[in-house]
Amino acid sequence: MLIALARTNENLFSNSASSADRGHPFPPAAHPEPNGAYLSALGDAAGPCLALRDVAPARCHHGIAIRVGVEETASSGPRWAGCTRRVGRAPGVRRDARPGPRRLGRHALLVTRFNHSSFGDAVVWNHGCLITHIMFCLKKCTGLRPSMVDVDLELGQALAAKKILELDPKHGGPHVLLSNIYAEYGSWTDAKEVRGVMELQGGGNALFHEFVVGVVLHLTLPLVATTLHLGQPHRVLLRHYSAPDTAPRLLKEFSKDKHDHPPQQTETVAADLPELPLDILMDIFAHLDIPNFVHAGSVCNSGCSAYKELCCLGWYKQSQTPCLLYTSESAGDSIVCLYDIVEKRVYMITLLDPPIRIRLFIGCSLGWLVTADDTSEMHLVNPITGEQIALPSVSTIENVNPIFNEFGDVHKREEKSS
Amino acid sequence: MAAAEGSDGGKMIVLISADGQRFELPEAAAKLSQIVLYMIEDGCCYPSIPLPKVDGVILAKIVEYCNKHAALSSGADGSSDAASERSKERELKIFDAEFIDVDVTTLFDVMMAANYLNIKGLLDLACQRTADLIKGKSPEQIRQTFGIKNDFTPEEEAAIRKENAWAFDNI
Repeated sequence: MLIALARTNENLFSNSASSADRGHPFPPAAHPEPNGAYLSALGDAAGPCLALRDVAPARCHHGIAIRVGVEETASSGPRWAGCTRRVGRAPGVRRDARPGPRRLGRHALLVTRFNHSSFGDAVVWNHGCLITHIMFCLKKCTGLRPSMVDVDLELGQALAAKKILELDPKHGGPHVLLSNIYAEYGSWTDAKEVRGVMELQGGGNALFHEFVVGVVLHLTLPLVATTLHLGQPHRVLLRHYSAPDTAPRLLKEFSKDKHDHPPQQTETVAADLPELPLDILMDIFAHLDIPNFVHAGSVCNSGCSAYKELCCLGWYKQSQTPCLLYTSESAGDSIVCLYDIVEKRVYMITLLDPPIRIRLFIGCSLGWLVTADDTSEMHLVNPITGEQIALPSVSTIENVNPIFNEFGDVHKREEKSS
Repeated sequence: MAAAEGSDGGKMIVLISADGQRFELPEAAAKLSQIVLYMIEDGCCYPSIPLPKVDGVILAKIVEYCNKHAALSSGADGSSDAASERSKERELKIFDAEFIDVDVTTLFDVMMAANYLNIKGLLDLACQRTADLIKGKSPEQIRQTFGIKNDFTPEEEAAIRKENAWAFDNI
């Protein structure tokens, strides 16, 4: 029955998409791709309770994570730490969105990722009231600049509801969500249609749980009830619905189905690591020493993105296991050997001229070696990246004079006696 | 309102996995998950918290982790001398090591679930374990270990290898 419910809703969605006078914009392609400017605008407008993050992995160029948190108190910095960590940001998007002074009563976390062609993923906390609340807050916050974001949000909400239904057809929350979205936009025809489906699928004897949602959400409750010709507005508007007698049976079937196909599970292993989200990959890579880090970054595209992101942010492992750096006659003059004491193997690194073997190592700091050649010219060398920076010549010091040999090359320097 | 009392008088929280299994654990253990903590603070954790993204098998493991960690860290208030602290730490370390010694699929499932539930300690543990599996392996060996498909074009791969040519010398 619940499967049928999902299908019915699919139809419902397509119908409402084509027939809705308010034009809920399906398919997503009709919607302009979210870009930096859009994000930026949204970020500013929704400053009090929105944190926007660009987490675009390599294959999802328009990937956006919107993480919404509505906090009970104004000072709730630590709570954000979990949500906003380790993701890059789109140009112009605020790095940290701090919850504003408005007391909103509940908090919630919504992670969505838009893709230019589809709504990629939606992880929504499994409570219709929370979802509704997020949506309400979104609308409320962005209402500051309605012209800019209204349409996008409407699309986002409707898409989110649809996606959640796909992800979790057994859950009644999305129905509540969707009907509430319609209700908030005053689209009572659509709202009624969704509620009709709920009514139908719930049957006469299904149990309904009532949500208690802050009054502030639904000041127009009596009006809504009148419009929808409902006797008990508080029950109908906000109920969370489940059919206890059918759910266990279906669940049993689902789990049976799962156990019947164990080979499928092993097959999916093949794509597991790339499927890890970028921030988790970055977490993992942040535990690696440089050689392993480089190897891991060349495994696949998502590994490569994590590698680049970490390099860019400088969040790779800071306490690296020391390596032994040495030169040897057999390796050649331009080659420096890096001995990895963990793996017990040698990496040969070719460096730029002047030949590293004839240079003196003066010291090192933050991965950079300071070297001096036999004419006292100094270089900073990063053996890992192969970068080299020539420091100003010692001749630029006022009291140092070069001494030329017979070929006109500098071979010594003298210090002028003052 | 099913505010069940546990054997030690603390409240019990009920988690329900994607396949409908029920897990009951003390509130202190459940609070290790930030998400669940927020739910508890908001009072929307009764009668149960559905976790549609977490499978029963994985949730069982996570409940095991939370119970162990909560039990060992909560008992420290009365007898908090240095020796018992150390022994507890050691016990936790041994537990963690055994706990995370699982096959790659389970490891990733645990990692995803820890990320979803926002259990920092467990996420770190799983990430560290994955990193340990990567250590000392060539890219091809990493692909084999985790069953990853090489999705680079030959040009891309050549470019990456050229960038850090030293790391790919004899592999």
